[in-house]
Amino acid sequence: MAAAASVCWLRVRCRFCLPMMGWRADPCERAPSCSAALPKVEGADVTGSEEVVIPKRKTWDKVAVLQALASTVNRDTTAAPYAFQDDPYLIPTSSVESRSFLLAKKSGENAAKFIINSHPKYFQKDIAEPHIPCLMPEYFEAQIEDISEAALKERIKLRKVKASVDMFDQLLQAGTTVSLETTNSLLDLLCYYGDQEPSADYHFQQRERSEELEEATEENNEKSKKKAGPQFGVTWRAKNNAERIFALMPEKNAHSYCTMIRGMVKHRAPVQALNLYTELLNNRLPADVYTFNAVIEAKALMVNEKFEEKWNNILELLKQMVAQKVKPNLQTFNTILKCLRRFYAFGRLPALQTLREMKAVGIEPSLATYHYVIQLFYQHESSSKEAPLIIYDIMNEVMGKKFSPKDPDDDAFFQSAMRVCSSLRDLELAYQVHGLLNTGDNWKFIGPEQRRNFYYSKFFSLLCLMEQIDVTLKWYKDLIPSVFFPHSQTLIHLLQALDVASRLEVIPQIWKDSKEYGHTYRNDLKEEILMLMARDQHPPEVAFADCAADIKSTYENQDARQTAPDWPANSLNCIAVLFLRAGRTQEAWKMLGLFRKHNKIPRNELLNEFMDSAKASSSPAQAIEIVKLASAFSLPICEGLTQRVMADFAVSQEQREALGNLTALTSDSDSDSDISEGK
Amino acid sequence: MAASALPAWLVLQPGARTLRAFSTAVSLVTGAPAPSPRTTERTSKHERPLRRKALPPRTEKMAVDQDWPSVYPVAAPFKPSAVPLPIRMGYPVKQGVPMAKEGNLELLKIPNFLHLTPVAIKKHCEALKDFCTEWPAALDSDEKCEKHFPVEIETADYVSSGPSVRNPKARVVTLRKTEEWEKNKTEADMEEYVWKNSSSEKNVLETLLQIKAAEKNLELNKEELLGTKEVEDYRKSVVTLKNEGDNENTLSQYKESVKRLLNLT
Repeated sequence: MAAAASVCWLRVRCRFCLPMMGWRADPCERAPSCSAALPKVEGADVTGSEEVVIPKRKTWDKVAVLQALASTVNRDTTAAPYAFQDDPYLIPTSSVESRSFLLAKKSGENAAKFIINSHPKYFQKDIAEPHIPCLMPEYFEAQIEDISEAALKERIKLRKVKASVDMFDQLLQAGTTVSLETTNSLLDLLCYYGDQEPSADYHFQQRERSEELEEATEENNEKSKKKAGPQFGVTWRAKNNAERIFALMPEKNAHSYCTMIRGMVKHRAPVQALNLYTELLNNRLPADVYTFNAVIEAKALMVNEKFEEKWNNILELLKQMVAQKVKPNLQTFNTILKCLRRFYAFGRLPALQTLREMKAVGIEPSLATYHYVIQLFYQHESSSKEAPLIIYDIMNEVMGKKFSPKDPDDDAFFQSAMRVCSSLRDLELAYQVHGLLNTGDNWKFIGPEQRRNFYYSKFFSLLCLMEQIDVTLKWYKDLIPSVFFPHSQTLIHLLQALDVASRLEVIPQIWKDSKEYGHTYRNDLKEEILMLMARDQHPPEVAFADCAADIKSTYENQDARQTAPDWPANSLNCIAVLFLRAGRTQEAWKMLGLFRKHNKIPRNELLNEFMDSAKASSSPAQAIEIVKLASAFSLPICEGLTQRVMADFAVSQEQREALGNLTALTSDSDSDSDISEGK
Repeated sequence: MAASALPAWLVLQPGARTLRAFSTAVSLVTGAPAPSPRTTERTSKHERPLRRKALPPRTEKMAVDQDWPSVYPVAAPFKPSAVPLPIRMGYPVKQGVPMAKEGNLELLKIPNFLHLTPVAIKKHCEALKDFCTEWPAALDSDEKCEKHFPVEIETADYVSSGPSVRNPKARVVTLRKTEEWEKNKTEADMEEYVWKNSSSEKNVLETLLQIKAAEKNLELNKEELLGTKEVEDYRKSVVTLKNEGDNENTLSQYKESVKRLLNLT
């Protein structure tokens, strides 16, 4: 019965044995974690002396539940990135458009912020609970008006360069001494911004400037670097405010020297920086690790020195660092590697030495480290006789690791790694790199849009080249266009891969897709498509003919928009052939008219096919049309065509005469052309 | 001239509408010598930049066996370009069908649970299993829960989308030891006699207070009175009398206690 059964079941569960009768032994003496003792109830159904074990409560942080739920969903491969509105009309159709949409969104945010900060008194109501500080107006105006050190400190805090310098000068004129600490923070401000007022989008420009500078140095054009100086970024003017204030300071401590050195190096005044460093050493003041990093960079920036000299200087500096017992950090090694990049092949051995030293000191390399090493070893695409194998060592090293941002150049790693994979034509390696990108949070290091597009273009081109077509098509559906918009060149690679694998029936689908992301008017792509479709006879003729008609209509639209319409001869040929093969003779004949209109020469095979079609429909008028066209262009095949017409068709007398005239004309022009060719 | 310019249908109109026909005839005449605006319109159409065309909806690209929870991972409004179902909603016009999903406001107004399909819920439950602990095996029925944990504390959390996460109703916490209906228990329902707050207690206190007042004894403290031995004895005897019924023992006890209380011994 149920009661007995429950007793047995409970007995199994209990940690101690119950007597066979229904008495409840009091469990409290034996097990400490049970509930209150049960009073004895006689005769009632027995509940047993089970103990109620309350398990310990689990705790988790605020977002753990959301993260767990997020792990159940993947990326939707048909959707555009979440930043855009998910509507067919509002999804961007090219990388230019997506950039401009995102900029528009950001500019709207900036405009709103500007309005809020200009009129803070209208935006005081705060209904958000808990309080959201970033939605409230910010105050950028200095509040303290009198001339005092507190006012100076406030202006420094608000990053107002000119106002701080003015305030400092006023303080000195009034005779008040400014404390060393405040002067140092003023120097910090001036050295960080290079004695210029920071503009609103200072940080955005800073990033672009450093990228362009990198490219300039990669081209190794000293002239361009010098030209680039005044254009890009702030250069250190001689005798600017920072130097002036530095000279005025009654006492200087290590911090003052260090910040001046760092400012000079940041704004490309290495000579002054090194002079100041010598002064620092003469005053026997200690330098911190950041200053050493800056001085290393300064040494490398010195022009007119050989690579060995520069490297020896850097080693000297490192020895001084050891002597002053300053521990190097990641930036030290990254700076060294960045400078070694400019030494080309000479830099390879020092780079490996640097890496070993890094491991010996126990500093974990960041992605930027590997990026510099890759750049150093694989600088020129076809330079060395054999490609160095260091990329494989690097990938073995980093597989499965999750990186966190440590260096501003961390997001250049994936681009350079994929570039190397592409040049080595190694698909396995590319898969490894892509796997690393998808580990943990490493996707954040893919970089800005240009880098992302470059990475995926190279990856996809490599796939088209080396991978089986089914897998390639899967990647195509996965990546395009939700991750990146392909160039027309990438699509041409895909078409060539389809050609190699004889899967040309997918072409109409590819054309339809490529219209969606802005390739409607790309002539090279359209020519490639038409050429592949028209080259041989293929079963899906109807689909191909529809595709060709579509492409034709895009050419016509292009005509309407441009003043000088230009149809490539290739396209005309291919379209006509495709129409004929699908049996759309009407449209095919219209194409002949287009040849004449755009003054493009039809191919011989095409004319033969037209002749076959005319024969199939037994219309001599059409045949004569063809001959007329051939003669209009003075093609040598005109003779052969005329003979064919005479032979195969039932022509009337006048038609014969007309044909005869035509032939005469062409034979005359033929002989003329023969003579002119000087045969 | 004007009459010949009229199209045939106007001529066929019955006489009652001649006025309208006349006015339209006038407008036709005035309209005829001005074809130029139309041609300028045509040329400007060519020069006008082509209007941005909408992409085909992405339902066309969706595979039949795609991962639906990835398309709708969270509660989102209904997007006709993302839901590959031919849904219709709305009251139809006569001889018509309900409106299609494109641009259908009715489908936008209602809450949709596209993000909570059974597949999605199963996946969520799997993911949330790690946060849960096991239910105590011994508590497998409601009665056992009541028996072991008779005190109930009720809290409520509210979630709504808005600028504030606070909801004043969430501050209400209910502590419950007894059921609601148990408050209606009257004295007559009581299973056993409880002396505290009973009429007997009141009577005793009144009597003693009156005695003390008559004697001009100013110890008018209720607690002291209650704490004295006589009152204690009285209490015990009353309780046993009421609970156990009348018998020699209890009655004699009662007698003794009363005598002691009123100092009659």
